[in-house]
Amino acid sequence: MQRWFKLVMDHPWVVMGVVVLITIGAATFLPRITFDASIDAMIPEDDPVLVELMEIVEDFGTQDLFLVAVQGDDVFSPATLRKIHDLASELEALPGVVEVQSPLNAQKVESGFFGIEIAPMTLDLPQTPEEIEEFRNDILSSPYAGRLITPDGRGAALFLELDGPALLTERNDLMGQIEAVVQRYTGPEKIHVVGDAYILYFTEQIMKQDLVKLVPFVAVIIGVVLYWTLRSFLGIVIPLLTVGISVTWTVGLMIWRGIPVSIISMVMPVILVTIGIASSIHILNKYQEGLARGLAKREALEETFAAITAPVVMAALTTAAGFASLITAFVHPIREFGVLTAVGVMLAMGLSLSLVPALLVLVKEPEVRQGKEKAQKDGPLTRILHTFVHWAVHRPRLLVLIVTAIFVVFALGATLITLESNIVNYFGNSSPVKQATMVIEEVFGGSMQISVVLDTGEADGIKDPAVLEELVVIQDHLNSFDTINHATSIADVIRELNQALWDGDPEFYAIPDSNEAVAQLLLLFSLQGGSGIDSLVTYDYSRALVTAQMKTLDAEQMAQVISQVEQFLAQRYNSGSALKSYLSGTPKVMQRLMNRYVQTQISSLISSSVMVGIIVSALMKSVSLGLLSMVPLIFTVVVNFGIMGFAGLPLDAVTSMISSVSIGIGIDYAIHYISRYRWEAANGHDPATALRQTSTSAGRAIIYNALALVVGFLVLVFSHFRAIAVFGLLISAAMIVSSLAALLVVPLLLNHYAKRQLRKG
Amino acid sequence: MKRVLLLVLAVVLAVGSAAGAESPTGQEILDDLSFRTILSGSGSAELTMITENAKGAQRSFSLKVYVQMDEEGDAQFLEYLAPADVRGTKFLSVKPKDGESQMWLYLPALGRERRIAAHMTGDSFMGTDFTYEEIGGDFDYEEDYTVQRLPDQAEQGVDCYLLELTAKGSEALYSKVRMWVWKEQMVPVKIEFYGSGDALSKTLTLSNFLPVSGELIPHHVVMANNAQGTRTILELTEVSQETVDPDIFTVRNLRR
Repeated sequence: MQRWFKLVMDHPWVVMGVVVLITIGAATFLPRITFDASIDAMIPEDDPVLVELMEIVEDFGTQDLFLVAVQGDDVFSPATLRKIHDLASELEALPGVVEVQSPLNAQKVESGFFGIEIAPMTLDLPQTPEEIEEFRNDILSSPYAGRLITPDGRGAALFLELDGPALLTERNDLMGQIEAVVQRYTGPEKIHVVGDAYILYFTEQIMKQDLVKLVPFVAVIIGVVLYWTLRSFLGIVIPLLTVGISVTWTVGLMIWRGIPVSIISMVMPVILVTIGIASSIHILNKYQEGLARGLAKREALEETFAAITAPVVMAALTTAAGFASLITAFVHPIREFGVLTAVGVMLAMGLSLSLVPALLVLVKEPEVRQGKEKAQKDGPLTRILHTFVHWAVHRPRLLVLIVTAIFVVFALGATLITLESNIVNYFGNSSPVKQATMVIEEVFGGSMQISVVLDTGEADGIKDPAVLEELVVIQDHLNSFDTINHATSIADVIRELNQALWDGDPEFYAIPDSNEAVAQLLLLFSLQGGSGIDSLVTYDYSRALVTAQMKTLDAEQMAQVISQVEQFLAQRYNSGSALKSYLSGTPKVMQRLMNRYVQTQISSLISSSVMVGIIVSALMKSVSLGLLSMVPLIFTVVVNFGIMGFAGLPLDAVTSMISSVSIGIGIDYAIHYISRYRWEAANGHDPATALRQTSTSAGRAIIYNALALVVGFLVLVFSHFRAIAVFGLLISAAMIVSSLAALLVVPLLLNHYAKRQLRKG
Repeated sequence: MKRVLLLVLAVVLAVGSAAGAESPTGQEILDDLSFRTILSGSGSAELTMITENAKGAQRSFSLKVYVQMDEEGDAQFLEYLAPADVRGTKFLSVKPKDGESQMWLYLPALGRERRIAAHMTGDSFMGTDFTYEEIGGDFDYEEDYTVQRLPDQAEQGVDCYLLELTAKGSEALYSKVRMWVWKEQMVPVKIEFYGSGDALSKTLTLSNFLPVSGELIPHHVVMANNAQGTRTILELTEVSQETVDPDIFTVRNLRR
């Protein structure tokens, strides 16, 4: 290692040159940055739930709902009807929009004077009171009542069918155009847009806004922290330059590997900047200390790197291990985030040990102010730190009792934890997408499509009246849930046609009794130019789809309902049945994700603990000390879950990373504390004195370090995403808890451990 | 449905002995292919109609078609032969001269004939790739298009004249139509229909020409919808130009 530093310090320009070249190389990738906030992207492509969904999309077309809802005092007023008409035709004219179903053009099956007719609800825009009255009667007596228009006349919905799989960029262009059209028609009516594609687009916009805002913000905040701790211009520039370059490299690597920015990885720059400065602080601190003692520049540098390399490497390794443990996560972007951040941490470490010494050789040494040390010696902080040690040594039982009590209370809180996978809930309540979703779920009965496939396994199987009755059974079952509405299938089309064939007699709203009758009704349907059944039945009539709208804002309830429906399907169409049936759609993907958050949580918790435990044990050459340093972390993790449980903060894709991240970062406190204690003990101090010494030296550094991290992470609170803001708060809380735990619990354990050693030996 | 047959027969039977001139103009070629229905009086045919979706999945129907056209008006009668579940379904359309057309449908499994409303134009006919206009043959090339002859091309292995018809105004259904005419027989073997922006919208291919009552009739007709990737295939058998009994075209006959 010393040879390395000699090499670096002898050839600083070479190091600089290499770093500049790599940075330019990485920076050339930056303009090619891409974003992907989709729920589907969170799940591995080969996951059975996603494969099933793709099969359904292949057979029946898109399963995403896309709704534009008009909300006003009276949508049956001539002006609003005209607005709905114009809005629909303008939206339909957009490239990428295949069809717009509106209350005005929805297909009706009618039995009139001229015979059976399948035609749009209106041919000419109803404007006179009589025309409007007729339209009102027509649509409110149709299956579209409540779905396309509310009976109280306060809302109307347009269902947009979008062009098949489009490139994300094309899709986003279309969303921008839809947004612009909607804005022009807004007022006095409110117009809401809901749909996966729109949420994706909106999320991407917010991600960009967030990045542009949060990254400079954290740089400024960290700059302030640096000035406050190091009090020199150099102390601001060098750490910021180091983290800036490591972020550039990491992001460049991400783009080079074709990984888009996700709602999870967008916190990476803030995290890397915040945790990356610690090593530079330690280095500069030590360097300035050496200069203050009157060492020459080169001597001071050599001493600094001889002393600081081991702790810097150790801290980086454990932090990287914490992030790397996320590779066991189910959620795809979490894995990417974990690995990339781990790489970023290691890169920052590498820069601290190459670029930083090279820079320090090149720039003039800072002026060193002295005399500050004294003032701090007897400050309130010192008294507090001494009190902690006093408790640990003299009141161990009381301390154990208090810590255990806190632990138990928060562990109980952890059982209250809820799960969240609906991306809409990652936004705050005032966000337009959240508001639109709330309105549409309230007024139109659901914002997402849920689909149930019924597979007969043979061509024309669906034409069997018994099978059609099964579709009705599934529809009725779906509609029996408060959170599912407007279940529909080919059985509805058949029943409507049959009724029309029998002069509109409601008694004949039923499935006819033979395959032939069904086949002939379908023939009638196509002969009359009926359309829209391709999304309900496959071309060979072997499989049919029941679709419904589902409320998804309460994700836990949604997941429960899905399980109930799946149980119903599994019982009714068990292995003894010729029919197969399964449920699919975005709500199912969300349920899958939610169930996997718990798995992600557990697996990453275990793997991060094991990895960190092994690293610490190896570095300290003691398994018992390794285990000891884990204690404050376990405490921190439990307190974090307790806070989430009590505060009603859900476990989601973002918050499920907190425990691994806080283990990786929080372990540093314990390492510092224990290392220092061992050094003091080795220098002949008795345990109590060694602990007192440790608490003021390492303890003080731990508190500063934690505060710097807290300040950096708190920047995330200003994110537009509620989930990320919550993550910022919780990870900050975890930093405070783990540092306090290190300062309280570790001395307690060390003291106990020392006594036992004494008795033994 | 008669109109399917009409179009097929019209396009296809539009024979006309080759013009005398060695190198006829586009207009002369078109005159020989005028869309005058050759089937004056009555005729009948059996046909298999296959519709194919964009993924290549097919649905197949067999039909018996009767057509009668005279000075009193048009009438068609159509009966489904296969598949079994729609066998016996019958469709009658009667359009008196200068009157509204009336349509009836008889569904045997439901034991009921019902009048059905005449459909709006512009929509797909029976879920096929033919629109009502195309099937109706109200396609007046003379009035809506200007014709131009392009350099000859071979198509389906035979020498063809190539005509390009360009829409005169916005009234025309297509912006441009290209037609390949078999020189020797003076029948079209391929027609391309172009929509807005001169994008290829549909392609009609005619083949398997067999003589019926001394005239060549294509027995294999494919309409491909280039925009949607779907196709409709008509396979004709038992084409006859024998006069059909007028009793066929009655509501009474639906139930028979």
